[in-house]
Order: sequence, then structure tokens, then C-alpha cells
Amino acid sequence: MKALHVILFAAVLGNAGDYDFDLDAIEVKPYTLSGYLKGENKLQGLNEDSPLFHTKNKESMKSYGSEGDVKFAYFQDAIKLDSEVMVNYNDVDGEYSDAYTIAQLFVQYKFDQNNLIEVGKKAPKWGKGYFVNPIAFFDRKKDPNDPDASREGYVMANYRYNKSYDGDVRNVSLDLIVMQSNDHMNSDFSQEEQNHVGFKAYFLAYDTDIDLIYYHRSEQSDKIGLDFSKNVQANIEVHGEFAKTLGADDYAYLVGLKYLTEFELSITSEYFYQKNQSSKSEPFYDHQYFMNKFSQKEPFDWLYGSLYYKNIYNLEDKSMQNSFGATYSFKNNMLLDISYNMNDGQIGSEYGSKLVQDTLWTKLYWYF
Amino acid sequence: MKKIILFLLTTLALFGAESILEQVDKKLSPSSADSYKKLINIEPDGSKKEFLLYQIKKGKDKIVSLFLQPDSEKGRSTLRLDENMWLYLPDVGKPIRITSMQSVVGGVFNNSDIMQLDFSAEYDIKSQTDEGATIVLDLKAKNDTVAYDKLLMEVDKKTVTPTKIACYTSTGMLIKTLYYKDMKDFGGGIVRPAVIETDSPLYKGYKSIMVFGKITAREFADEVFTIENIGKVQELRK
Repeated sequence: MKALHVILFAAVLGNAGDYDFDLDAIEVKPYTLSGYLKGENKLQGLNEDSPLFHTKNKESMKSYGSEGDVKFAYFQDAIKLDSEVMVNYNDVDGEYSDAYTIAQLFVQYKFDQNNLIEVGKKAPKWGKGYFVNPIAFFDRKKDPNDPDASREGYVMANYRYNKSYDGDVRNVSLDLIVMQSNDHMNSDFSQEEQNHVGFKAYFLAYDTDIDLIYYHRSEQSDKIGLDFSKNVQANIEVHGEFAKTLGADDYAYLVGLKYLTEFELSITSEYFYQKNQSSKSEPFYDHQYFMNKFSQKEPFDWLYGSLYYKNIYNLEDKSMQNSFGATYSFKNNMLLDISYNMNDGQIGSEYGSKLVQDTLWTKLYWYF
Repeated sequence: MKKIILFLLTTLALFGAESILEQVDKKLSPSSADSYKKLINIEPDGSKKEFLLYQIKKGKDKIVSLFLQPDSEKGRSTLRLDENMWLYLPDVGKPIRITSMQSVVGGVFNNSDIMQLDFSAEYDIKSQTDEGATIVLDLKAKNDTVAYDKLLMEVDKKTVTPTKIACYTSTGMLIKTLYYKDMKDFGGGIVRPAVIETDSPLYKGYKSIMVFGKITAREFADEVFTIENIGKVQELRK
């Protein structure tokens, strides 16, 4: 009888636990602290046809990496200090390297609900594309292997006016960015020492996100840009970007869509075209690419797990990069991402020339 | 003259009077408020994963959520403006348009359950049946961008709050059932079920629970519900 009481009491406690609400957990502090630690391992097979093969002259290489990312923000009345610091340590076949990066460090001052200014190092992240953003004039180029990871910004001042309305135009937001590039500041932004001014007008009109951009440079031709994003159905989103250099035969655009099937397969497809090739050291340097990502959430009732396939296809030289992977989000704030990545193409093509032919890539994140 | 008065009264009854659905909406939340809720996903083996959210709602069609826990989701925000929905991830650093059918946390709840607008903003009453202590409302989505095409809502007459909602697709397939329970006084005249449990034939053996911890009537500017501010929700907590 006593045992039965204990069991019943435990059952009541069990339910009570689910329905209980710990109000201490919602205590408001004047700061936020978050981030992650990442460990990664790459087993890479090398490509004998690569022009860089002679630098290694062996079949494979192993690399280990670790990364720490800390985001800290402090709030006081109308002022916010926002920061993100990244520390990397890499070991490629016994050769060690490390890096320390202040990805973002800026102060925000809110004059009122409609006006604010941000000054410091930040990444505006313009554009709607997943793989590449032709209109991201003030951002670093995305890494095609990890498009979400390009977070380092440049030093700038950003004023913003933001206003909501009733009617077909629900929101208008105006951004003015001013920055300078020289030997001491933003030296990797532009080869010329010059002033940069960017103006962006955002509209949420007829349930569509629209951005119009004008970018003035003191020593080079000005640029214009636009983008849009819209849900055409509850499960289909379409987006696009267009950028043009004024007074020159130079333009680039991207069109794409996201589609979610009934069984939660998410498909992201994008086509990218640029009139002129960029430097071969940069990602997406060629004229046109077709990019696809298929991500199946919780396949076979595998809660918190996903499977993905990613393909980046260079339509000019018919070379490509394929990735097959799986992620699992553990209950203890850990995320595991294992993928097999393969470059494929003829000798001399973009992906056929890569030093690494295939990679078994394991990443483990711990979030705090 | 009598005919004119009768016509006016009928018109008022049809168009002017507050529908039972609008009364339910009012009972569930003040028109402008912030709240804290936790979500618990329970797997067939009994293991659980908890999420803690801060949420701000204004009017019938504006809502924004911020994840406070677990650490792996901290800082993730979701904004809903009518049928427009965006997701902000701190590691991506910009808002991305998403669909209401997508699930941001895994488990049985999807975005539209967590970011629930007023029912009267999304559904029309097709019919209502009096069943003694409850009224059963047959609700039809106003358009095809709403996550569920049809709802069967059981409303408790005494508290004017839902006790059970069955959600169906346009083909009549049952997607999930929500059970409202544990009436609680949150202060400021807000008395509503503190717990919503859900199960689904699509996720056999899985269960998700939503528990409201605090609801406070509070005024917010419309600009809070814009993509420029989706990453700044934390600054509004008091």
C-alpha cells in the first residue's frame, strides 16, 4: 500500500512538473550571453588532376579544427552594445594555425521607435538569396560550403528610419550606410582608398518584401540593386536579386524559390548569373550557377534529425560540388552534422581543379 | 417604421454583434500583450525537450516570438504579420521568409500553433451547434494560406474558452487535436486555460504541451512587428 502511494505521488509530481512554470527562468537581465564551441574533423581525398596537387603530392590529408563563438550584448535604456568574437584553431596534417576575429562590435542608439543609429563593425546582410547575394554590397562573400557562417562585418555607421502603416504598404524602412576603406580601416573591403555610401529603401507591400538600393563609391562607378521575396502559397516562397554597375556593362542577378512539401521536404533552388567573371579565388566566380538544397526534416519519425543533399553546379564548365549529410540536435544543446562532400568535373574546370576531391566532414557544436 | 426597426436590429445582429469566435479571442488574450510560455515535446519513450518563449501580440494579426531556452535555440525569433512569417537565427543574422506549415521546434506544434493569431482573423464560422455545456463551432479558413483548412472547436459556455480543437486539411484529414485545460487567473482580468496539449495521428505516440506562465496586457508600437526589429525582441522584455 505504501508503495502504491509512492507511485501515485510520483505520477502526480511527474505531471505537475510538465505543467509547472519556473518564473525565475524569465528574469530579465541587462545583458545576453550566448555562443557555441565547435569541433570538426575532415578526412580529405586529394585530386591528382589539380594544379595544386604537387604542393601535397599524396593521396589524402587529415585536418582538425575547433572554433569558439561568443555573442555578448549589453542594454541600458536607449543604448545597446552588441558584439561577436570568434576564435579558430586548425591543424591540417600537423600544420597548426589559429585566428582571432572580432566579427561584430557596434553600439546602437535608439532615438525613438522610428529612428536608430548603429556605429561600429557590423554585417548588414543585404539580399534574399541563400547561396549567394549579388546585392550584398557591404558584406563579405558567402562560403558556399557554409552559407550561413559569413558573419564578419566591416566598420560603418548605419542610420535607420522604420515606420509601419495600415493598408497595402505595411512597412517602410530606410537605411543609410556610410563607411570608409583605407590601409587602416576596412582594408580588405576595397583595393582603392575611398568613401562608400549606401542607401536602401525597404517596403513590405502587397505581402512582398522589396528592397531598392543605391551604392555610391568615390573612386569607382556607382551601383544599384533590388531584391524581392514573397510567399506565393502557404508552402512556396519566391525571391530574386538584381545588381548593376552604372555606366558599365556589368550586372548580376539571382532567382530562387523555397518549397515545402506536405512531408516536410524543404527544397531551395537558385539560379545565379553574372555578366563578368570575378576573381577565380572567390566563390561563384564564373558566369552562371544552378544551386539546389534538399532537406528532409525528421525523416522516418527521427525527431530533431534531418537529412540533406546539396548541389552547386557550374553551368559554364559543367563541374559541380555534391554534399550528402545528416544533422541531429541532441537534448543537451549539442548538434552533430556529418556530411560527405565531393567535387566533380573535367580537368581544368572549377570543381575539377580543386585540390580536395572528396571530404568526410564531421562537425559537433555545443551551444551555451 | 416597425419594419425599419426590425431590419436595423437584424442587421445589427448579423454584422454588428460580436461573434462567439471574437469573444473566444478576447478571453484568450488581451488585444495587446506580452507573455511567456514553455513548450514540451514528449517522445514515445518518455524523453522530453523543453523550449521557453517570450511572445508579443498586438491586434488580430501581429505576433513576434523569441526563444529564451534551450541554449541551442536562444535568440531565435519568429515574426508573423498576417500571413507573412519570417524567421531570424542569430547565426544567420537576417530575417528569412518561412511558411506557416513549417515547424520551428520539431514535434507536433508547428509555426502557426505557436504563433497563433486571433481565430476570428483566420476563420469564419460555418455553423455552430449547441450541445448543453459546450458550443461546437465548425470553422472554415478564410483563405488557402491558413495552416489548417477546417477546425472543429468545442467552446465551454461558462468560460467562453476552447476545450478542444480538431484541425483538418482541405481533404478532411485530421492533422492534430489541441486540448485546452487548467483554467488559471493570470491577473488583470485574464482568466484562460494555462495548458494546451496536442497529439497527432501523423506523430503516433508523440505529445506536445504548451504551458503559459505569464500574460500581461501591455501596449507596443506597430514597428515592433517589422523585420528590421525581429532581432531586437530581447530589448523589449521588462
